[in-house]
Amino acid sequence: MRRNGSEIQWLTPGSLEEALRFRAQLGSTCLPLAGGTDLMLRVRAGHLSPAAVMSLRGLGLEGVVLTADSLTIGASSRIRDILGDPQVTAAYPLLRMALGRIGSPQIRNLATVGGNMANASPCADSAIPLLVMDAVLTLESLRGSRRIRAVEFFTGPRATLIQGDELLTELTIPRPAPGSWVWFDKFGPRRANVISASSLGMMVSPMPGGARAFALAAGSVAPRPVRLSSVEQFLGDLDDAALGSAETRHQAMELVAKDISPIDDQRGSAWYKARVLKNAVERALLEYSESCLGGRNGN
Amino acid sequence: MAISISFTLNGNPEHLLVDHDERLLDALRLKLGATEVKEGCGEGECGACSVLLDGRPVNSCLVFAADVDGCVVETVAGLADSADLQEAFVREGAVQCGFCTPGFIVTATALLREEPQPDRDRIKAAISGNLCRCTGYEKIFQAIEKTAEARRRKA
Repeated sequence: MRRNGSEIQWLTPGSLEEALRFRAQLGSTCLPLAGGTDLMLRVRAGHLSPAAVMSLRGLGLEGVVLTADSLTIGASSRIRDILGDPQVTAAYPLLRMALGRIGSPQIRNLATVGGNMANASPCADSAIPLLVMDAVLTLESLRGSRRIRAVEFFTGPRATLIQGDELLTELTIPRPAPGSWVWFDKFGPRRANVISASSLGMMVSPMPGGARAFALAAGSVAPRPVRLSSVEQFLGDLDDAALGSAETRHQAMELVAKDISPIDDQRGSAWYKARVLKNAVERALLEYSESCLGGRNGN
Repeated sequence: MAISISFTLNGNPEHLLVDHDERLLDALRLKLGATEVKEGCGEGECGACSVLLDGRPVNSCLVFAADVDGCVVETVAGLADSADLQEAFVREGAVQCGFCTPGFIVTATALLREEPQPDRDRIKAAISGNLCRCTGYEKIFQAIEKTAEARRRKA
């Protein structure tokens, strides 16, 4: 139900501290606005009825800092600006792949990673690389700051651990291990401006001693974006020969079901989403074995 | 209507009072007479409402008018460097009903400003947020390519 327009405040804090004071006063009735590409629709449809809308412009949350160990993205950094930094995209190809498929150029010129995460759609594409690479999110309030792992951040559809007096200020992603291999795809009716019916990100990282760590994350197949931990555990134990086999791919596809709980909705049936995701896992593993395990294994 | 904003529209300073959830699209069309900005879908999928916000194409149906205080907004009517592109669209048959055209001109103008000689894949990526139901896109690609080519020959 829309509130009477004249009751809703429009807040333009001049500093992060002022913004946090508004959040402390008003809690979650104070709606933080970054790019607003989803918020505009939800506010106008009455899905959100805030007491105040608070613009996050000019609070210094737009920076992107790349070091030898990590990438720190300000929560209000536009997706287009992250993609436009060649050092960042070279160091984080999985981030480039996923962010580059969000919406359209017009959407990416406005939208932010912080907003995509805080909005917490189960289909959020930026969540995929952040889950795979084990990103950490910084939540600040007047009480202090805390860091939450991406894998713990979402609590359900459109729900996160952000408390009413907190703001998500930055996201930190450790550098992938040298030699890491990544894969991403998302599925829907067309190539651009698609909210994923199913999505998959995968990273295979070389570990000391010749071992490998697998990280897979999927969107639109559960109340929140999820790691496919059953698949990861299975794959992590296998040697090169086993990894390249069709048998392994089929087993991995079967294990996907353990980690997901898709529903029927306007993007597809639960069966369809699971099927597409399983096919994606198969394709990713096939490409991995062709790229990294010395060619096609014929069985 | 409590929020006061000041911004530049096509080079001219404008001052408006807007509502918290007023779309930039509506502020432009209804309060400033900028009806060259079209509403196609109202949900950021079609790009017909595209304008340049601080030089970048955005869907004005998704922008909070209150949030453009201090910004620079350009619509198709203000893009002095798009005259040859617009002529190319007309000449090449890239305009049928014309409703999507303002959005395409805005997006393509921004593309050519940033990348004067884009290849077709780059063009397709740049205009992937603009839909056309009439032309099937081929003439649109050609209009943009021919504009870039003519500019290159002139330079």
